[in-house]
Formats: sequence, structure tokens, C-alpha cells
Amino acid sequence: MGLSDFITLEEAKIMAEFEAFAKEQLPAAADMNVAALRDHARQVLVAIALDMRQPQTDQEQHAKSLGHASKADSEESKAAGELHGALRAAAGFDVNQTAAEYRALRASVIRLWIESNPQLGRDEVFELVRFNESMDEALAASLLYFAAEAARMRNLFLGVLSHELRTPLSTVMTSGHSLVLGARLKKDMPEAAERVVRGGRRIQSLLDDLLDYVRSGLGEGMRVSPTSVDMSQVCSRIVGELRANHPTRTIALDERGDLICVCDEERIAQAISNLVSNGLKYGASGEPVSVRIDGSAAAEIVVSVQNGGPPIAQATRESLFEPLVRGENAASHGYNLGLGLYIVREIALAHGGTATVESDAEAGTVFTIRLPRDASEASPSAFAGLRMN
Amino acid sequence: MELNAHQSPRRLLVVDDDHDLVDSLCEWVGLSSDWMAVAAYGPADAIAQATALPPDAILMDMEMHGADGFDTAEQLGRASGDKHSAIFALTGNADLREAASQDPRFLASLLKPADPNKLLRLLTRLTADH
Repeated sequence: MGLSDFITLEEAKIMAEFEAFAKEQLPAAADMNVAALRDHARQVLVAIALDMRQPQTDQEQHAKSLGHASKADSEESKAAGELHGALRAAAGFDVNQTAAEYRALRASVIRLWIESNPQLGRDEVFELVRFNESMDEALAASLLYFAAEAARMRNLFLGVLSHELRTPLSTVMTSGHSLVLGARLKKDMPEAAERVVRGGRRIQSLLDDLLDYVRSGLGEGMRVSPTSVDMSQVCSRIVGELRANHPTRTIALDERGDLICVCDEERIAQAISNLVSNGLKYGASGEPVSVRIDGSAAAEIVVSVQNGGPPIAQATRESLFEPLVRGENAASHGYNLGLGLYIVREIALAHGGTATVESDAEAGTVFTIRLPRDASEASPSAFAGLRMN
Repeated sequence: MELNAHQSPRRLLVVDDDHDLVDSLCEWVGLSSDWMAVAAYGPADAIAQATALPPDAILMDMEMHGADGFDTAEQLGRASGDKHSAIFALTGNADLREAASQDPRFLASLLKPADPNKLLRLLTRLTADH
């Protein structure tokens, strides 16, 4: 059987093989709706089979092999590739993962085809060549669109960052001018000084988040320096600070089991603080935010943060941990780069753990971080060694 | 032209959902000019204050929760009634600043962080023109 006929006939089998590969090899695919992953790959595959059936002269074939595809001939696989690239960028895939999907698709098709013992004559070899060319075209189109989409998101982010920095900077400059004038008038202005300090702190916190984002985006993940830590102490400290900053809100803390573990104390504190702040920000303001740490299992520590309020839609839940995603009512809470939950997930992953979210009308929204009890092997920090962490 | 000594001071309504920025701007204007600055910590607050006592000028953030600056300007214009308040746009977003500078409802548009002295010059010019 010819390869294009084989693809059409065995589509279901090829997709099953591809899915198995994708789930195993692609971390970002784990967060992705399986149906979405499969549908886009199937579109690429169908388009390629269609391309392969177009008649092709020797001259065209030679041109294509050099990367000069004639327009009509490659439109299908290119269009499928473009869509694929843009979607993968939006879903938080990196460029390697996006390209790896094509490798998986190509390997699945060829392996299953060879297994079916095709008669390998001149026509079959040419078909194989055409298949590879169509794959390459779809891949090239996908990567081009991936890069364009990634650049668009980066620009959007820089716009938000600049905007978020400008308001506290405005406070610092205006109150600073007042303080200069006040000094000349021999006037004490403690409130202006406090506003300058708060504005500066706000700018610092935005820049710290930005640094985490940039570092983790370099492909190595976030770096952590694990030491022996009492999670009970860490949680009490974080919850205590947040209670002091939000006197009108209730933050409950529930601890169970053995809470001594090996992790990066500051990073874990940051993750828990981000989750509780998130719960205070987006949860129903009349309801408590409940922090639970559970060390009753031998191998792991589970931290969950629950808040009440309307449930988060499935589609929104899938992208919550992606950078630059902000909750629906984010605008009503001022500063927000959309990095808080992204940083939470990066911290969990760097410890060899996971971060997940569940949400329904009854239980509200629950964010859960699962950490191995001993994360000392997780990912030793090069920055710590250089005292740069 | 000198302001009549018997006249009450000119009022500037400062509108932003960032409290610290509103307080900073009000303090600066009170300290360095003869204008009286009034704080409004959001669009609803601004409309209530402008309805109660229409200000001479409004300095307004263009991105607040619940309303954008253009809609709020429209409503503030109506709230001030016959008294035409001069509206200055203040924003951290360069695109919105551009849009406001093309909009006849705004007398001027400033990009955060606005130079406090430039704000004073705008207020001084407004006093001189009237």
C-alpha cells in the first residue's frame, strides 16, 4: 500500500501511537487537553496526506527538496502547520517541544508503515520523500508562526510590565518632589516618605518576578537550593505576614503529619505566599482562605490553598499557570503581571513536584502543590554556588 | 490675570484607583500651587464628587477597574453640568496617551510618571487662560 493511502486508512492507529509519544515526551502536553493535542496533530497529518496526492513533476520535486515549494502544492500542510505553531505558542510549548511533535508524528507514521510490510518499489520511495518534504514544510510553517506568536506575547508582556511599573514610579517621583519642597519649607511629611518606600518596594517586587520569569524561561527551569526545612514554621511565618497585611480577611492554617522536609525554604515560602495572595485577590472577599499542609505520607508534602467564590471555567484553568495570563477580574486589583501562578508552578517543578488547580461551585477553588519530601537531588542551584541566588 | 482674592480656590479632582498615587498628587498640588486638590479613588467616587461640587479641572487615570478613562470623561462632563471642567489624561499606557491626545475632551495627556512640574505648568496655564 502506498504511504498516503496508508496514512488515510490507519489514521486512528497513527494518532494513538503519536499520543503515547507526546504524553511521555512533552511536559507542556501534560497540561493540555488531550483532545486538543490530538486534533491539531490530526489536521497536520490529513493535510500532509492530501499534499502527497497532488501530482508533482520532477522539476517541482527538485525545487521542493531545496525548500522552494510551489504555492498551490504545499498550501494544505503549510496552513495546518501555521495553525499548529500559533496554537502551541499560546499553550506554553517551547520551540523544542513544538518541533518534537513533528518528530513524533513522522516516526509514528514511518514505523507503522514499515511494520505493515509495504512493497518498497520506486513509487513508494518517492512517496516517502514527498511525505518528508510535506512534513518539513508543515514544520517550517509551524515554527515561523510559533516565533511570530511568541514575539507578539513578549511585546504584550513588555507593555504590561511598563504600565505596571509606571504607576508606582509616578508615586515615587511625585512624593519625592513633595519631600524636596517640604524640606525647604521645614515641613515634616512622614506619609510622603512612606509612599516612596511602598512604591519602591512595589517596583522591586515586579522586577523580582520579572527576573524569575526570564531565568526560568532560559530553558533550565528555576534554580533551587534545598536544605532541611520545617514546613510548619514556613507556613506560620507566611500566613502571619499575610494576616497582618489583610486584617479584614480570615486565613486559616491546618497542619497534619510530619512536616520536616528538604526544599528551598525561600522559594517554597514564595510559592505559598503567591497562592494565598491569589486566593485573597480572586476569592470571595467574605470567605476565608484556607491553607492546609499535609505531611502524613512518607514520600511527599502536600500544600493546598482553598478559597470560596464562583468556580473557574475549565478553559481558564488550563492556562492559569502559563505566564502572562491574568484572572478575569484582575484589572480590579491593580498591579499584576500574570506571573504569580507561573512562578508557583516553576518552583514546584524545580523541586521535582507538581502544581495543579481544581475548581467547582461547592468546594471553591483549590490550588495544590505536591513536593517530594526530599528534593535535595532536584536541581542544584548554580546561582547559589556563585552567591547570586 | 490675578484670581479674585474673594474667590474660593480652584479645585482639581485627582482620579486614579491607586491610592498612593492619588495621595501623592494631591499633596504635591496642595503644597506647590494655590489649587485645592480633591482625591477620588475610582470612577464612581469621581462622578459622585463631580456631581456634588463640579471641579475646575480633572486629572484622570485612563485605566481603572470598572470603567475606562474615555467613558468616565464622558460621564464626568455630564456630571459637571454647565461648568466645563478641563480634563487632563494621566496614563501608564503609551497607546492610551496617544488616543487621549487625539480626543477633544482632553485638554492634555500625560504619561506616567508625569513630571510634577509639568502638571503645575498645566494648572498655571489654565488659571491664566480664564
